[in-house]
Amino acid sequence: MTNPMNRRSMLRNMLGVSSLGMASLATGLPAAFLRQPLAHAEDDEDAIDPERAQYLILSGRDNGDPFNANVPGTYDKPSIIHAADPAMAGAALSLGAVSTTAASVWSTLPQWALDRTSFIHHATKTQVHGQLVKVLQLLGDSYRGETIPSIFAKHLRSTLGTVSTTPVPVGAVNLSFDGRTLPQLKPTTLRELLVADDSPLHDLQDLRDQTLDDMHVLLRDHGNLAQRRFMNDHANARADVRELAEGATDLLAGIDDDQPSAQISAAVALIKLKLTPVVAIALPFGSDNHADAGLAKEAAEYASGVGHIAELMNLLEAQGLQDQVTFASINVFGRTLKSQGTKGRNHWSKHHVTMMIGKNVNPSVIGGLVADGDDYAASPIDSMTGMASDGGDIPYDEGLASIGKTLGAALGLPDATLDVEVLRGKVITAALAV
Amino acid sequence: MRTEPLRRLARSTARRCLLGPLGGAIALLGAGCYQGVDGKADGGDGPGTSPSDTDAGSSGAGDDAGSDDAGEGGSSDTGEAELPFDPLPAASALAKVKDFLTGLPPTADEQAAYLADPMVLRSQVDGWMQTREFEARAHEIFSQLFQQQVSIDNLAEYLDDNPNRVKGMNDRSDGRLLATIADAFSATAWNIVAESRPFHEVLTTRTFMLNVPQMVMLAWLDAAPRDDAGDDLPSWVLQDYDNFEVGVRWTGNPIPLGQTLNPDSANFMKFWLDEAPDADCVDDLNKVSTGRAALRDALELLFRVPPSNVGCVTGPIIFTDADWALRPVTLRVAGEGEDPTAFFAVPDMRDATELVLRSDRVGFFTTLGFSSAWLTNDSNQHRVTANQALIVGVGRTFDPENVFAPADGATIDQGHADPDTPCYGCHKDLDPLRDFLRHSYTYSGSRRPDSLMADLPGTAYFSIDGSEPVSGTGVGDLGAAMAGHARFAPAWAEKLCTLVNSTACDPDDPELERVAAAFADANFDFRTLVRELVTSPLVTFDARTLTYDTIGNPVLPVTQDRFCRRMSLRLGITDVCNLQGALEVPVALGRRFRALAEGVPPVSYGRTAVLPFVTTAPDVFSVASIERVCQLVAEEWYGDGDAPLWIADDREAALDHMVGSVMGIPAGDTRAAGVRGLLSAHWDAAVGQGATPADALRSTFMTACASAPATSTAL
Repeated sequence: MTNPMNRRSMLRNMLGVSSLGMASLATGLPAAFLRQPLAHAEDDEDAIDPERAQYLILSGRDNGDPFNANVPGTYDKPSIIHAADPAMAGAALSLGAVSTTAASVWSTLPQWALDRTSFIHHATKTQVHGQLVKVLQLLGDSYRGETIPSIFAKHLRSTLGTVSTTPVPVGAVNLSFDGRTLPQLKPTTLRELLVADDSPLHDLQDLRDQTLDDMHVLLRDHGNLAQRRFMNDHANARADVRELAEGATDLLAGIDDDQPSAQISAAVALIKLKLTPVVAIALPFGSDNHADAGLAKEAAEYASGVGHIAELMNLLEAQGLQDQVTFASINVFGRTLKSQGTKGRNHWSKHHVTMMIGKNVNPSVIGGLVADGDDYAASPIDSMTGMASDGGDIPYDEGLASIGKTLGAALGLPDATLDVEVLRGKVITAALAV
Repeated sequence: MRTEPLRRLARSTARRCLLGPLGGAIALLGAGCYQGVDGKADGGDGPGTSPSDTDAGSSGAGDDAGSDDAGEGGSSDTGEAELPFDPLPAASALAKVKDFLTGLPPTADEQAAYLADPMVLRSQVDGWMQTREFEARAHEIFSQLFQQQVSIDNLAEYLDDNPNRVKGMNDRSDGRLLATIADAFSATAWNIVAESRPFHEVLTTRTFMLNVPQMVMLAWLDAAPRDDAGDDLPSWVLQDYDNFEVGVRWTGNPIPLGQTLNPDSANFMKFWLDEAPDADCVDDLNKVSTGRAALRDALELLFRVPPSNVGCVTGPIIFTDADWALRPVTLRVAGEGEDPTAFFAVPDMRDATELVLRSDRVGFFTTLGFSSAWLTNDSNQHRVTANQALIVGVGRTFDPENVFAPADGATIDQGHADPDTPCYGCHKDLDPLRDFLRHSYTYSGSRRPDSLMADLPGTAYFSIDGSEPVSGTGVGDLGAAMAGHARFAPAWAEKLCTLVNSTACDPDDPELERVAAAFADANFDFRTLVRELVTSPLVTFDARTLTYDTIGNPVLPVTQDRFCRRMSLRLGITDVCNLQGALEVPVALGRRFRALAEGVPPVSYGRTAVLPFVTTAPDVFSVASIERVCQLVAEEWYGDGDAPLWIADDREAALDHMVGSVMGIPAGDTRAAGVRGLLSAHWDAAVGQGATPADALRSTFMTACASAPATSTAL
């Protein structure tokens, strides 16, 4: 019998491949097919300008946080309620050359971040918990019902050169990829996976991989197609595991819980290690505050949430990643702005605010509010000026889809790609830096 | 560059999208309210595991195109060529079934018997269902399906208390408060199964497995009622006990607990502290609280959390270890003029088989766990609780396409009554349903007094799938309506099918309908459901079914619960993932085990999701997590550590253990010798590379532990 080591070395020399190649031999499927069976996105890799390509850290929650209630655009209408807390009081805020008014706590963000921040008023058109995935699918306006984090990840992976395409939710964020729900990967788990230990067993990893490859060849002969496919996937995943680099110990070693600060550290670590183009975190901004007397919980969480965004910005800058990473906040729905006679705020499908901070983002306040029954709804938008406009070329109904296109453009995806992946709406050019 | 397999994949994906995900309710995205969702609600646009997504029969895909066993291809009714049937190998089917039911691999004898006569599987399954491993597995399944997990924040909101103080209550019970709330209904459901009672009693039972602390909490909720807006309602305890003043003591004579809990004692509600107060704490031990604050302080003290005016000391130990054990307790509504059980009557509760309450508690959807997991408010008005009860009980969520005109149009929330509103589609059905809950409870979870009934419709209505509406009042009638609905049996067949296969079975599959019918015909005996399902080709994939045509033959990564269970049992290490906090290792190491195990995706449910989220492919992080868990196990229990389970000198027995137990391939299996040979060669090669015998043993174990058979559902 051939010595397994010599056989493996021989095949390596012939093929110049690693475990993925072995998996291909084990299963009879081409390595390219094993790697990216739906890599249609890679056809576009030349179309993404590497200078504009961005990683994405997305904050999103199914709680329906009142993120929309204390941002620029909500302080020029006296009937809009805010908590009495000084952090929620209206104060001047400079976004580049744009002067506006927002909750005073927003001014605690680093000015360089504010100078590349856009707040976009629109609607998510749902007010049901558990539908963040639907919102990220742009309520049917994304190609094949894919979520925008997945779309972005598929297109960016090659240009950014990440190990994996799959977005990683380190917070409790419902994300899907290729139609399957992604499990949360907690910061404490990442710490265990990515902080090196000095076990001598690591020296035998190649040997274990070889044995597993040989085992799969044996099992393949006894298995059906579904089993072979599983082994393909398993081999594929193992190959990716071997590419997990260690080099973010400074970011991960201090993690001892799964709270927002830990999520931020984990997200930056994943990007620093080039593991994925998209990471999702979950920053509370008031939660589902139906019975929030005096909006006290909203005030506390909102201040904390803005603090976490500042923490993220400072960490990106410290790691030298501030020009490579874009942050965005998209929640399942916004909440009512005016008093509805309850102690807190109710669900409100007609107004939500997406926030973007990134190198390709123009400091701006996009869109606005129009009276709608007992509250305010998002207005149509002029995509060129960013102004709220009844006759704007982005009607109310296309606001969410336009968010998908605009965020994609901010991440570096070209218009032609966005027009394929997002079926309606327009890029809000006013929200993008030249 | 696209290849033949990719073109076939794209075409089949488009076809599946046109048919709709599993033929279930199509979500109407524009409705803006509850939608019929299923496991493929995202459109199923990715590479799944249906036969159309494999390279079966494709050209240019390598030298293993097509299965050696394929041969059932033919033309479908549409004239398209049917994909060949690709059965699951018999040995794998047997392993899949036994692992799902118990976490254990088949023995060599069991495999031989099954291969000789597949019909023997029914009796094998009956035997496995009599084991303690199956009982533990059933508890786990019920825990997943009955949605009783509760967070500190939610429980605090349900109790109208500060989350930090509820955290303190849980911490000072060593985590048993939350854990037993989550476990209580699983134990209740198991009792129903063990006593061969109709399984739909999960909807109608008033006898629950409870412990004394939970009895205290249920009674306390009665003693501290709140209205729809969360404002206090009159408390019968404060009305009956005008000496209800709560305080803590440290000076003078120690106060026996019997006096503290005795309303006839001068020391009633005076708690003697468990330790001397810290000098930094506020020194006002002689203060007392009264009114509603006293009720809250008393509850917290019963869980060893002293009032905040005292500060940083620990209250006395009230509950013994025996008090935390779950046992059957019947919850009865107090009669006219009858006082309910006082929440401080702890000694009486210890022996009681009955707890008298003002609120009605029936079925899984009125428990502490479910009620606090699915909180409501005066905006939501029990709709979420009603919908989740529907999801768990009968596998349905509100779909705007359901056709039902309520008998009384006035039962619909006026804000949504206009048929032109986007929410009308759901509210016309959901509002009459939620009235069952409104009749019984305020939006704060307290019993709804008669004084708050006037504005509610007198009758609630239950109807799904276009069934004739069933009218009634209160949660008891809702439970009975769901239990009596024809949907109950199919719903539970679908739920279990999803868990076994880690993906949804086709709800229109005649074989699934047969299983559901057998369950119903057996007076809803749960074991009958299990036996009929796991011996069916829906699970064994030894014959073609509609489910096979829809989802293929799924071989998927094990979920967290199954990986941890099988490893605990097969390695002989209790709670190896430390998910229950029972792993006997140093605390820091235990945290590492748990953190890594949490990298293996669990079964989880989202709000309004009818089917669970389960991972469908190995990914880099789950594979890495499993590898690291295997490494920690190897370093702790294999080789030359402090208390190894296996040492290098046990080489032959260790190899047998790795193949037969860890990988689940019995001796005599056609694969066993080859796999064992590879592991043995690995051991030798490791030594050849300079590894110590202990490290060679560890590395060999790690190979087995992280292998595809050890980490899949059906290999």
